[in-house]
Amino acid sequence: MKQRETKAHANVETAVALLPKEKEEIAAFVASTGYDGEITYTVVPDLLGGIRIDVGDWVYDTTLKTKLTELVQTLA
Amino acid sequence: MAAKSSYQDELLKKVESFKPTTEARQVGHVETVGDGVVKLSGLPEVAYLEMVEFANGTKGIALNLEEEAVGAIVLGKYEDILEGSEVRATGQLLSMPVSEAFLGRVVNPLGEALDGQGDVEFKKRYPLEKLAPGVVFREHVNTPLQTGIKAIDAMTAIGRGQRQLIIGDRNTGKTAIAVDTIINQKGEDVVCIYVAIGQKTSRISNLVATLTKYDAMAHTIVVAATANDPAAYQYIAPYAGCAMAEYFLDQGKDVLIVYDDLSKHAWAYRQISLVLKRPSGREAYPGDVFFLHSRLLERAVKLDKAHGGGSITALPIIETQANDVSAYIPTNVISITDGQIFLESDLFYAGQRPAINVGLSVSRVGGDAQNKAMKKVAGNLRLDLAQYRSLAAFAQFASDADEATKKQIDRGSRMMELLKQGQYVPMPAEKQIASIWAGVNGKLDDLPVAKVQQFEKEYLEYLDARYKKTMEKLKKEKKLDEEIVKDFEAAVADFKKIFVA
Repeated sequence: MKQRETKAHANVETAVALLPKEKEEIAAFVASTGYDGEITYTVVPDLLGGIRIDVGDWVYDTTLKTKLTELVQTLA
Repeated sequence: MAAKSSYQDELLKKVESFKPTTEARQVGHVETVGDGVVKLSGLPEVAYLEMVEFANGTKGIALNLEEEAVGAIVLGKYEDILEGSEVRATGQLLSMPVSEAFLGRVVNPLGEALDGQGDVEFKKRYPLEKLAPGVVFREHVNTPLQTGIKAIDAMTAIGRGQRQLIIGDRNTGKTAIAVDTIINQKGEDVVCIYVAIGQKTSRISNLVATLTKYDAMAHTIVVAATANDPAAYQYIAPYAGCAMAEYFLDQGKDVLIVYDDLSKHAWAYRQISLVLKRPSGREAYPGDVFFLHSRLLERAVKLDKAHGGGSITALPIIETQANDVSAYIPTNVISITDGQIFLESDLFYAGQRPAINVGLSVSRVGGDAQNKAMKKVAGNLRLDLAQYRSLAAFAQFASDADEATKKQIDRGSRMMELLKQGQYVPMPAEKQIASIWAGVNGKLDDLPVAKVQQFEKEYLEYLDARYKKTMEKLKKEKKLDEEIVKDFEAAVADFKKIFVA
């Protein structure tokens, strides 16, 4: 089974557009995980805040939306 | 007003104590979905049998760890899992919620309620896969588990901590034996767990109604994976029931667990293995189908006093095709269990119910699982009836046989008639002893065979009315001393005078 094609792509999603300096920091962080391919930046206002990075097998998720969803689940 | 503000306070407290889960997590992505099995890419550090969670909340178990992919079975509906969706590892091995609150409830293998009475409260979770207690923890089986069925308690007695297989064709009364045993555990401080694997939902609902009717649900838990449920549920159902049993075992209790039935369990496992492309062997079962059942049944134990003294007695049920006990799964399970109760359809349709084949049925624990009185009374019964069966063919020519043979045939046919028993009427131990004592001591030899059942019923009523003290003494001491034998002799003689054939 061939590895998923997203391994060749890292996706970064934020609620607001990123400044170039911030983009550099993120690129450095992604590079530190051993990944050296292309990075795609998307703006998703629905996330309300924080950042979500999909790199290979890892997801780094500090978005407010995820936190709120989890909160709702624990209260249910 | 006070109630409302306390509700708000509680909510605020919960919100404040909320800690979000770690922000970095490993994920996989779904590559293929089909037949209850999902192939994932990613998840490089997932463990064998670890629970994984799909994007829609459904859980799964990682069963196949290959170099390039992970094969997982889905615990729930797999139709709405999308290709490419995210899957995350939960870091937990599969476990079942356990608690006393489950008594009287019907749940699925994940502990979710199926009887519409709301979710069950629980504090602990027990793992589904667990190593059975080792040699050091165990003790010899020495306490009887009364089934209330004369034929079983007399000839193939079951002890607490034993594994006794119930095997036979369809519609021969396998489940009926299990149900009667469960009904008979009322007041015996034995927790009963009935695991239904791959059965019709209507059948389970009838069973629950029956148990409720005979007041047996209060000490019973039903774990159900119906024919409608995915193969993954049917695969884990017995282990879920066993995890529940181990919770009570750890409290020093005695547990009875019925697996109905393991044939369907093997089919579900075969389905999963074939879809996971594992190599298949005889009858298309995977290579580890023996281990599937042996690791389950090994968890039925009798623990020694130092470890609580509890026990789990297992009654697995296997359905044969055309009475073939030498098929693959039946032979596997026969070699694992400590004996079997073999039910024959010929006997069933000839009116002998329970349709137990005395010759092929055996209990490897035997006399150790009987109280002294029963052992004394039924000592030779099994051998005598086995011999009767082989002579039964000559019963047609009874007039041509010699005296000894004729006597054996007469006695045997009356004993077989005595061992017939209705459904849902388990008999307490002292009544069984009184009844069988009368039979083996020739008190029924002068009665026509067709009147034996009526005689037994009325004789037991007579004993209850006139010899109450004797019966209570027998019930308490479980020993057949001279005084009780004298009472029995007198009772039979008296009763025969008034019995109208």
